[in-house]
Amino acid sequence: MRRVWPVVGLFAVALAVASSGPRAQEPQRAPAFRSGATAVAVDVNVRDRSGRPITGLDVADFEVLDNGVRQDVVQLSYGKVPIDITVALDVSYSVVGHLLDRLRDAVGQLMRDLGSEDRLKLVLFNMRVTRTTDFTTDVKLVDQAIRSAVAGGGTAFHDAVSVALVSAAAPDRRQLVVFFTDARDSVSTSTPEMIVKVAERTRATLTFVTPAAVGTTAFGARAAAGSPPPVPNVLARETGGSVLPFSDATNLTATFRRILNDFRSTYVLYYNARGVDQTGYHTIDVKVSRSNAVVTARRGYQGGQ
Amino acid sequence: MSRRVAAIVTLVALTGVWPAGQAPPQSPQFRAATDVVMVDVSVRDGGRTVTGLRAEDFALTDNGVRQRIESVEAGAVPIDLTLVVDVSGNPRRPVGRPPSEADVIGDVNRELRLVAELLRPDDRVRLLAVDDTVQQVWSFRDASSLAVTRIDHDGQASLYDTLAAALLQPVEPARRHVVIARTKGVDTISSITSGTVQAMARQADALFHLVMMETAFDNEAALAGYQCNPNLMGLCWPTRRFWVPFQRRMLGPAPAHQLLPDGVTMAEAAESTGGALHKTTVGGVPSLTSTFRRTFEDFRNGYMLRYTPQGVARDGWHAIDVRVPASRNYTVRARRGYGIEVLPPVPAPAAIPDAPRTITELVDAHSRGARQQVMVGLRQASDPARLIRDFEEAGNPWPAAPRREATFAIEVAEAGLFSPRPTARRQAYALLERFTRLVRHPLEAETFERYWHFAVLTLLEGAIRAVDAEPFVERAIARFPAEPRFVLSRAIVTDQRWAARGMRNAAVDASGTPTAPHVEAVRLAYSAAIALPETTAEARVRLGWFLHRLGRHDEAMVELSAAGAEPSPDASIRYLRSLFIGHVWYSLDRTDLAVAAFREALTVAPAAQSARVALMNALVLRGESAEAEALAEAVQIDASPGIDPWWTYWQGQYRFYPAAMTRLQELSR
Repeated sequence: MRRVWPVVGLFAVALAVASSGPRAQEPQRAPAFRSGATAVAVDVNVRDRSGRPITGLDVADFEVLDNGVRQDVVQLSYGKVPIDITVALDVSYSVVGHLLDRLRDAVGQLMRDLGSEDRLKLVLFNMRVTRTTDFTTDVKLVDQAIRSAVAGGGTAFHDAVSVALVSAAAPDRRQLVVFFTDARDSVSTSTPEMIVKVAERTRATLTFVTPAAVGTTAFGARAAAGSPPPVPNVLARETGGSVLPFSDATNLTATFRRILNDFRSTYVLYYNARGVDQTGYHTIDVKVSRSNAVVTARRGYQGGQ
Repeated sequence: MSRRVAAIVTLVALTGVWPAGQAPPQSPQFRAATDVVMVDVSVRDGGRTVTGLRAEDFALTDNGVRQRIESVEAGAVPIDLTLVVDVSGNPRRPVGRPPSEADVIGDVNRELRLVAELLRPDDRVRLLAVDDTVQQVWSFRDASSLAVTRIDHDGQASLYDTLAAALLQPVEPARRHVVIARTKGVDTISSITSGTVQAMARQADALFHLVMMETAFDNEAALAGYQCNPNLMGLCWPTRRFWVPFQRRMLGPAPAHQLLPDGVTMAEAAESTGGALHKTTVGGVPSLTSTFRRTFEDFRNGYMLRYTPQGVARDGWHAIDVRVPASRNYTVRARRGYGIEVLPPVPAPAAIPDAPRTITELVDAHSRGARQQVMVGLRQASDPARLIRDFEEAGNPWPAAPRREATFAIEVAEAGLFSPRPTARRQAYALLERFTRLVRHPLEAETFERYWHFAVLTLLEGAIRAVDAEPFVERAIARFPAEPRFVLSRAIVTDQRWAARGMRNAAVDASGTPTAPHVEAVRLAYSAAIALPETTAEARVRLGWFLHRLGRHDEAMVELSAAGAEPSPDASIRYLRSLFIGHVWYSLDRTDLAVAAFREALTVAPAAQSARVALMNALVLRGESAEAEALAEAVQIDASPGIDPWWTYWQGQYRFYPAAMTRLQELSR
């Protein structure tokens, strides 16, 4: 029997779950996907209105619509899949001095907060997008890399997002990319439309820590009334991430910790997309049978060609 | 003075020599300003240790010159003992029956207890273990607490690496260092060779004894059986790193157990320190203490001879020979020599001249031809406005060379043009404007003036301030109407108005869309440059990109295709053309053609990030994730210093600025 995985990137987690290999991160009961169906894994963050995570939910508590068609959730996991975090720091002219020190502290604490199987990768970008440290748990290594960062040059923000999304990702780990940037792009070859399409076809969750007033907008030049939302907002919404404001008064360490905790306290739902065309873009709508629940999930995914 | 200190420090570290005035405890007083050499010597008469010898009983030569032994001490100096135990995998053991950690630890602890009995209260012991990696089980500690609780074992043998770690231990001046290593005589994974260990031993201030257990060396098949586990479908564990061969044995097979080349090297290593290589003949695992008890007692009952070298050159290798002339039957063991490393005097670093800060300093540096200093000084200028003002007030620093002043004026203006301060920028434009008049030849336009304008225009394009640049473009064209680069400059500066949004006279409406007059102006300007052969290709590429940004992809493709009719000799233009064609095809939903164009761009500039990312995006859309991931990886790890042509696209012809300035300087001489 041949399984069909039309969108490998998004469903790599599901692949790992479904496989019976000894190295896979397997929930207690591996789901059995049917031939010809699209196996989907989707991260779902559920919080109450005061922002506290709602835990203890079961499969029956979720309703998942794929292109408007209700799906059966065959498996659910919570906090079990190891996490790979990519921290991408904007080191153009705007990030220097004391701010760099605060970032170092925040990323260092973030690393110490990681679980035993979690890892962190550091990417620095201005015009160039450079991975200074591959996935590691070595706090000193990352600290040293940030310490040696030299700020300057233009900003290839869009290109950095695209590269971070496309970078090879372990199929049995959840992927979170945290950008610290003012999102002011000056030299990218990627357009906002392109990176949204890339985000639809990859599986990482994008979260942005940006100054309170972000200047760059998607699909246009000016943040005038009625103009499209800024690029970070579009990407965060698309991938189930968030945009957190940043100012001189912000406790960056607390902000990074919150990002990690939010991502960690996320359910991963697995379902076979049935009753829908396997190709094209699939919208995902997730609801929870709790009156006070606020649900955050990626908006959808790209099906097979 | 520094050289002397360095030499003495080296001497102490390598051979146990103290500089005068820094004597070890309980030592006699030494003369000032001399070096003292201390040599450990053991003397045996057959199986008996010879004791009670005095200074006059020894004959010692240093590089062949007889020396006067000033004092003899026996057994008073505390010992630092480094024990090396080999707990790597035993090739003889049957596959599937690894020794338990408890067994290995039990064996080691038993030997440690025996060793402890030989030590004195002042002695200390350090334990290293040979396995996959060098293990320091514990650093030096007193003999009352010698016990192992955890040890990695049954892995590959990093013997040479571990011995190096043992020998490289610095020795405290008031102590003696003894290294006793027990090994299976096989190295399978070290990163260094036996020769390296030998070189280290020769220089080390340690007595080095090596004992080899021959028990495991005879069965090649057993070794392969150990390394290649049938439970892993015959997969073998890696047995080498880098260039290191499969395995390096010191002893040949039974019953002769001849020393193999590595064994000879290691034997010489031990003997160069006064120690030795020992082959056990016991069938089982030999005991450290049983093997070395006698050697250890020799050492305990040995002598430490002190002398001040006389009649020999101080630096370099000193061969030592020690004898007891009264009895030719005695066996005297001592290290073979010592070396005094001659450290070459460290040259003082070249003085880094301060960057010139004032206009006087800058003019002075310029007069001396210190181009780099001038450039650094101008780029680090904290107050470019003041610099420009001072330059103007001071008058021509080279009255006989007005062209030189005009060239220098561009450099001074550059500091202001890229300043974030509007005042500095205004002054820079004013300075250039003044010199535009000054460089004007009264009779006819000539070469210097033409290059002067070209340098200024490339600089202004680089600053991307279209409105401020336009008057300079018009003045240049007024003087040189047929100059293609000036015509292209007009088009580029006009085009830049769109990019320079938010500025006065911006060419876009409230929604960010270029106005119709602006579009027409840009098209006309580029068309004029297209008509001039020198700038045809670049103008077409730029017009194509302009049309693409307007959403007129078909028209863009016409221009970009035409730009290829006569390929530009400028690689950056050829790269941009292919990159832009890729983007246009992408916008026309022809991802396959876009991919081909991006690949073409990468043949011109293989490491350019823009084409890599563009290709990566296109491949993701086509579902070709493997190559896309490879490109993402290539982007992130690229360390080439090259500049992606796309990064400077909006700076127009700024890429020519350095060459234009060089030409101007030549013309102003």
